[in-house]
Amino acid sequence: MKTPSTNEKENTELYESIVERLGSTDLDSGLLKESSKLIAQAYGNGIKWDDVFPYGIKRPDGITARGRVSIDEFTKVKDLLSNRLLRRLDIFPIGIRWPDYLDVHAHFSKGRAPRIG
Amino acid sequence: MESADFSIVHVHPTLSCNLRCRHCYSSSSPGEKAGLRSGEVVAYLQYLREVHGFNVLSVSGGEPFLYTELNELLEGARKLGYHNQVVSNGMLLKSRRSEKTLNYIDSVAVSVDGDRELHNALRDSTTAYDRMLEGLSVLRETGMPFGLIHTLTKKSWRLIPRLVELATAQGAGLLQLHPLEAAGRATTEVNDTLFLDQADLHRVFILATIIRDTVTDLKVQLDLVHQDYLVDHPEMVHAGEPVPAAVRDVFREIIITETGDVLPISYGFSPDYLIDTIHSGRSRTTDPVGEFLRERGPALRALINRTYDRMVTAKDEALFNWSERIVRESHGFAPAALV
Ligand code: SF4
Repeated sequence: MKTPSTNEKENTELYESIVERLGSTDLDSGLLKESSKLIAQAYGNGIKWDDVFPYGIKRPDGITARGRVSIDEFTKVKDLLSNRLLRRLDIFPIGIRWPDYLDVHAHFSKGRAPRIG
Repeated sequence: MESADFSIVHVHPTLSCNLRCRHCYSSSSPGEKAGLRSGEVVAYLQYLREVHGFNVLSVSGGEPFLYTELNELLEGARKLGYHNQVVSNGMLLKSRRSEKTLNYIDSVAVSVDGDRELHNALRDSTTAYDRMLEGLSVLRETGMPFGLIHTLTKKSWRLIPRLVELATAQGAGLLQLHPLEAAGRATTEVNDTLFLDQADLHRVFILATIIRDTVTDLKVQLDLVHQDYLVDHPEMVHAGEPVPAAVRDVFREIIITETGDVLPISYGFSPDYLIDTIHSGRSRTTDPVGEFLRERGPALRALINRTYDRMVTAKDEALFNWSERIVRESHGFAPAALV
């Protein structure tokens, strides 16, 4: 049997922390719905999702989804703009680690002013 | 082979099983003894291969390793050029007979319902989990490609990270996540609280996507589709023009049930859409699937289109299992009214 490598163990920890965050009963079901909508929109557009974080004081009222897209497929990111709860989209180079990729941070919430960064 | 080239024949040759799982969609059990005659199935496979290009055989059940004519079925299919898959609970793989059977198989899918406690509870067995692990070691030792199929429940979705770890450690190439369906014995013996609600499905969808995008050496497949994705990809479920021109335009999966019925798309489909029966004794010079397409193709396409329209506009059901929905819809409409 293969012993899980450090990378696999790190992955398990990452996935378990996502389970914790997504499983919180405080998390608004509307936000969950919009996040999965965004993920579905991104499917086939070359965006790979790496993590998701709820945010908000006391009760999470927003979600940040973090992903990456290759520079070649960057223009497809515009498809995300139709999401009605999208409040902010930050895109920046990842740098030396993956020079051909851009970091995508998409923020949703129910009540903040829209901003594209 | 690209996945687009797969056309799959799902054969359920028997409902005999060494287990009697509470969530079994085919209601299999040790009491079910009957089995199809392998010769009849192989003859039908030959017809499907030669006339309609089907190329993958997936044997499930019941437990295929209890089917007495499994070797004959697989050997016959192999000679016809089929890629042979078997779906199993993994408990009967450590035997001389199974060893021989594995020679005719190209890949195996083994069911895992969570950790030991959850798996054994759903399977009503104290040994199911450990014997399944034994089975996985047989597959590994023989170099057989295999995947794990997990039935997602309200209790199990939080275990997905552990299942990914298990699949990776065991050397599985695929982890398939399949939400529990209200079918077969699950409708009467599974507590309602085990079914995932929409919020759970969104959680699972987000989690599975991140896993799919970050894990290496493992394919993660979630049997859920998002309505937004379907809007852009109606071809994924074969929604389209009212009159389909070829079988591949309306379905790529055909089912042979334990009674020999031939049905389109998925196990449990309404007999209103019965294509044929393998014991019909018809000469194979006729083409029952082609005949079905001509006579019932428009009704089937109408059913697909109606299900599609319903699901892409559903207000509170953004995520769903297409097969489960279309099976349900197939029982809900009078086909005659659709043409
Ligand atoms: S779910 Fe599988 S193992 Fe369980 S009773 Fe049904 S066929 Fe047998």
